[in-house]
Amino acid sequence: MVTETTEPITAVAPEATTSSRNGPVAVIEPEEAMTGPEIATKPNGPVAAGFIAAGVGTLVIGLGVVLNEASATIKEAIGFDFNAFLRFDANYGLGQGVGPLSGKVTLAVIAFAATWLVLGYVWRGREVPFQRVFRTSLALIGLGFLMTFPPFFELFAAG
Amino acid sequence: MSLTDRELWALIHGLGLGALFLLAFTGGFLGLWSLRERFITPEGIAERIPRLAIWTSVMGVVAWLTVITGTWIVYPWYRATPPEGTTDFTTFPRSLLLSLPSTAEWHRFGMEWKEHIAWIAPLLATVVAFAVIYYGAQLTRRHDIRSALLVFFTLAFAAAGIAGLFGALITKAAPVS
Repeated sequence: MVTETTEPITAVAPEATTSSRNGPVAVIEPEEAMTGPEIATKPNGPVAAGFIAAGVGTLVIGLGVVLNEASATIKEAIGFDFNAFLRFDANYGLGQGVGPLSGKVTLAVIAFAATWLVLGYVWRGREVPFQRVFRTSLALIGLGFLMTFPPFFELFAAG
Repeated sequence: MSLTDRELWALIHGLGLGALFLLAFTGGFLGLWSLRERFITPEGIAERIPRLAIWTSVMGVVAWLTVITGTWIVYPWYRATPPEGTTDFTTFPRSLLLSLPSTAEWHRFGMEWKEHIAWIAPLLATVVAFAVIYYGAQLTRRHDIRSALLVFFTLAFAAAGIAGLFGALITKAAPVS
C-alpha cells in the first residue's frame, strides 16, 4: 500500500517523489495546468494516516454501539458484559451519569489517535496511493455511520 | 427572565457552539472550494491560507467542545433516572419522552442516533484542519487531497447537522431544565 519516495506514483495528477534539503517531497504537476512546471509538495503520508484514523475512529463508535446493544446476548454466550465494560464513567471515574456512551466515545478517540500516530509514523516522509486510502476511509466511515443508525443496531438487541 | 445552570449549558452546547460550528463550516468550505491555482494569484493564496487554517481549526475545536459538553455535561441530566415513585418527569427528559408512546421515538430513534453520530464530526473536522495546516499553500497543487477534504468537511457537517437537528427537536419535546 505504501510507495517509497524514490518511486514514481500515479494519482489524480502524475506524481513523483524526490528529496529536498527539508526531507522527502512529492512532485506534482499543477492541478489544472498539467503542462506547467513540476512543483514540489510535502508527501501525503501524515495526512493519509489521518484519513484512515478518522475511518477507524468512526468504525469503533459504530462497533461500540452494536456491541452494547448485543451485550445481553454476548454475555449469555461468552460471559462478557459489554454494557458494564463500556461504563467508563463508573469504572474509571470518567464523568458521572454518562453510562456506556462514555466508553464508546473514549475508545473511539483512543483508536483515532493511536491509528493516526502509528500510521503517521509508518508513512512519515512517504507518498501513499491516496485514492485507495480515501476509498478505504470512506468505507470505514460508511460502516460506522450504518452501525450508529438505530434501525440497524436494534437488529442486534436481545429479545 | 433567567436561565438555570442546566438551561445555560444546553444553550452553550446547542446554540452557542452549534452556531459557531455552522459559521466555521461555511467559511472553511468556501475557502477550500475556491482554493485553486487558476482562481487565485500567489499573493491571494498566501493571504487566504492562514484564514482557511483558522476556519478549519475553529470548526475542529468547536466540534470537540460541542461533543464533550454534550456528552459529559448535558447528557447526564438528560438520562438521569428519576427516584422510585416519581410521577412528574419534567426534570428527567429521557423518562419524560419514554413515558408517552407519542414521544418515545424521540429518544429511541432521535437521541440514540444523535448521541453517537455527533462524535464522528470532530474526528473528520480534525483531519481537515490538520491537512490545511500541514500543506498550507501547497494545498492548491494537491487536487486529490483538497477534493477529499471537501468530502470529509461535508460529512462532518452532515453528522453535526443530524445531531443538531435532533438535539433541537428533542429539546423542544423535553427540555433539560
